[in-house]
Amino acid sequence: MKSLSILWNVFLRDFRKQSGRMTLTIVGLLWGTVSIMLLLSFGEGLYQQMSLNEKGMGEGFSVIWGGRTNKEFKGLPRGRRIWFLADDLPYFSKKIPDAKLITGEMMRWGQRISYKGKYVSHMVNGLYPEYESLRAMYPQMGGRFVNKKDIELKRRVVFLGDEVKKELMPEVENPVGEMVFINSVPFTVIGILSPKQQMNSYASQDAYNVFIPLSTYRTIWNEPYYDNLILAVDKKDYGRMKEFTDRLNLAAAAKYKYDPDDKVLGIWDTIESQKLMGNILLGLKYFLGFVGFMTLAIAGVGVANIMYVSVKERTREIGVKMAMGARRATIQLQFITEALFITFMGGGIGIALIYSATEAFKMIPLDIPVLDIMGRPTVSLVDGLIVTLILGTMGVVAGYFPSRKASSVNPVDSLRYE
Amino acid sequence: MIRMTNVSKVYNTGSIKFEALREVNIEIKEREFCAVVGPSGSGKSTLMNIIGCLDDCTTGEYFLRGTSVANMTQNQLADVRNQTIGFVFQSFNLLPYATAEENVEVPLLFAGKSRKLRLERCRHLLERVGLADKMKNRPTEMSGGEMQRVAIARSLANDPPLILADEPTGNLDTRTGGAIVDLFNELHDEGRTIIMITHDPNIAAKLPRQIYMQDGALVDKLRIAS
Ligand SMILES: Nc1ncnc2c1ncn2[C@@H]1O[C@H](COP(=O)(O)OP(=O)(O)OP(=O)(O)O)[C@@H](O)[C@H]1O
Ligand SMILES: [Mg+2]
Repeated sequence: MKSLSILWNVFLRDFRKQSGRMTLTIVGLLWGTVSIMLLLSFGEGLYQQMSLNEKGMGEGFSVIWGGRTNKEFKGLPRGRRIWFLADDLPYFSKKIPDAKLITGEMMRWGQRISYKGKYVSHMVNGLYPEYESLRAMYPQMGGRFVNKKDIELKRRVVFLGDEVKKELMPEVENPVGEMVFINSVPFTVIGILSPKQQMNSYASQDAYNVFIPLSTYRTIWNEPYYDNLILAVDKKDYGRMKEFTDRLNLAAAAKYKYDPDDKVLGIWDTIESQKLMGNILLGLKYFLGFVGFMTLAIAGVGVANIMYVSVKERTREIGVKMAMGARRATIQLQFITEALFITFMGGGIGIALIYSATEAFKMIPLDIPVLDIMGRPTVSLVDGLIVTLILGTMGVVAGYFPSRKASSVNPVDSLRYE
Repeated sequence: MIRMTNVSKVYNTGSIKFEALREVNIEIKEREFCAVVGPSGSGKSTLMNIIGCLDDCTTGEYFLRGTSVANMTQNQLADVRNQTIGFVFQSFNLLPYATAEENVEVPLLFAGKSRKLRLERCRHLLERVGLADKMKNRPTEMSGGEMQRVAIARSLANDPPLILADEPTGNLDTRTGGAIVDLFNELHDEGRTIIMITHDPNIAAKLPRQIYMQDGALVDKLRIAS
């Protein structure tokens, strides 16, 4: 305990006395820490934002659409159109009972949507209530999505994408209950889509679409065919999506009589593409981290170097201290403490700086489109811990070898009259 | 206080062996004041370093206050240097970045004394060597004589019974050197054992005991004269 307080007092005093040299090293280290944290926080922000964007479309499903046969099959000609009809939904559900959900949607591009003399042209989407959670179509406060009753009663109700609402009725505070026209048919607004970050889409961004009950859609356009089927699976089956779509293909081939190996259906597996994107993002984050790590390592070499030079410069001082009764262990620990102190000062200030900068950046309400893709730089706890760990190791290594040199100084040699 | 039997010191420089001390036998009693004299290179500093536990001897035995130094651990040696011995060097060896007060503080720091005690002791010692007004001066802001006074104050920090001075007047003019010797006389009168290397025959002659060295061995005065 006593030797600890001796160490502390000696360290404090020398540090104060020689703070000039130390400050420079601390600044060097601060720079290293700031760069690694900056890169990591950008990486993390990007990663989080991208993941968020990914989820904007919903997750865990495949989109399947019909096509034409390319081969003759059992006497049937090629070029036949294979499209899905209303009774296909219960059929597939029976064939693939372990799927979480099989639903369908219809869509029509470029429909005229008007409100009080203003009009815009957007896609109209006919769908079922399941669509809400499947595709992350959550309504803003005060509104709701299409429900079962709407389907049953073929109600003329519409759920607007948030951007459509902004275009048509920017000044309307509570749009629920307002009347809009699709072509010339009046619809009552039941809800507005909560703004969401959506990077993927297979038709157009949900914010720019309008959504109506599928039954209503059918009566207006007298349309029998689904544009897409959507096959969703439970989380535990995410890894087996291909199996599910294969089974759907087989079931469809049996019903519509085509060769299952003939690539008739279009299939987009969102799980697969999200996984790929996730890996790219993770790779990017690691790359940024690695670049930052190298910067920090260079700063670490700087600390070790300065400690070494410091030992050389201070051999006489070390000799004097030994003649005055300093123990070798005290001398050695003093140098290690100095190295650790320098690294943690530089590192700590660096981390604090980046942390407060990113926090401050979060507070500023910025509406820059780039941020929707880039995300805002974020410091994650793990990143902070990793950097602290690297700094600690670096401090010990950068301090240990110079300190050993320091404590092996021969006082007689260092004190000889020059 | 000090007893050496057949102490030798051999330096190995590459393949060449150099015997800096040869079979030194010496006894120095408590409260003695000895001058060590001899030509340059005769081994005075080597002997002093061994006495001060800064260096070890190659062969022979050295007892400090009855204890064999060869048997002490590194930490024990450090504590001996801290508590039992006070060093004064020809080139002062003050820490250049520290003030007079902070220099005197060094041995107290390693003794683990409290801050309050350290400050009190520093003030007292610097007053005693006549530097009460130079406490906050750095070595570069002081004269040689003043620096040596600081060094002496520092050697007294933990009130050691033994003071070792290696040519303390070597870098000073005669008058300043005389004042330093007076200071050592005072310390001797207080009951301390003092060993002082000097090149100045006038200073040596005034001290109670002289130890003569030549080529690493102790000799009597007569042989040197002849
Ligand atoms: N580390 C060393 N390695 C080799 N030889 C050394 C070493 N230290 C001292 N010597 C040699 O030992 C001899 C005695 O040196 P020492 O310093 O004891 O002499 P000194 O009597 O103090 O001389 P001076 O009056 O000049 O200070 C010298 O010849 C010196 O060259
Ligand atoms: Mg000498």
